[in-house]
Amino acid sequence: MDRSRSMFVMSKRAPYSSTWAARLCLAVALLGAGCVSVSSYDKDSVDRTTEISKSVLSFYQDVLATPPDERKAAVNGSLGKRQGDIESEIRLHLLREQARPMNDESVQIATNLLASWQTFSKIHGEGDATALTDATLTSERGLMERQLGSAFKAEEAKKIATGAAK
Amino acid sequence: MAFDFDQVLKDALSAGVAAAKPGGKQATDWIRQSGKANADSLRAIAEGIATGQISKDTGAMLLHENERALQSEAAALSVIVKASAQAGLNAFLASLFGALKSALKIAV
Repeated sequence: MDRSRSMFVMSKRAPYSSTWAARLCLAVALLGAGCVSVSSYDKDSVDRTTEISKSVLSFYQDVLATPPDERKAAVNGSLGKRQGDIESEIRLHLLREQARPMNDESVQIATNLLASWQTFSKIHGEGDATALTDATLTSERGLMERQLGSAFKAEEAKKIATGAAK
Repeated sequence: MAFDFDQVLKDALSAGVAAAKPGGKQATDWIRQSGKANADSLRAIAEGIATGQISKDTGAMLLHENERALQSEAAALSVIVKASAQAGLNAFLASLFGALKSALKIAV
């Protein structure tokens, strides 16, 4: 057997102890780095979502409590200002979510929440005769609840990553 | 004492599966909840259109927003899946590393 061939055989059959050392190094390296794929749970995010939920639900409660023929005027007046305030709350929430690492899904949810709210606010002011009926408003409220529910769920789910959720 | 790598791997796998389990349950519950919410939203929009409370234009807008809500629910599901995978993998690695550390102590 020539020298090059004998070296090839050597490299193919590494000693048992060196194979173990390689496995150990790999395990240590993997554990040292850990596995992180989602942002950690943030109570502030839940608190912000709670505040937005309160504002949104209270807005719909007040519009629905207003007689149908007075809703347009209410939305162009005091309720219109509240729509703007809620948009600001959601924008701030989106900015805070964007600042967190590995938080793509919560950013996506906050972006969708803002887009839905902007669409509904625009329809309230510029929509047709059915824009402020009970059926439209309750449908909108249901859709907003689903967006907010997704934001809560995404945040709570982050507890699973650290084993805090059972 | 011989190091039983197969047993170590088996234990690590069990630890990983146990850590990922709560996420699996949450994912199943969330899919059910999202499916029901979607059906309720679509029913309410359809009834509104049928009774003339919702115009075709408003209905189209609401259907578009329903898709957006579904997108957000899918994003939340994605967090559940990622977090479960993270919990499972970290528990797997911790168990494996613990066993390797013990073996190394004995060897040294």
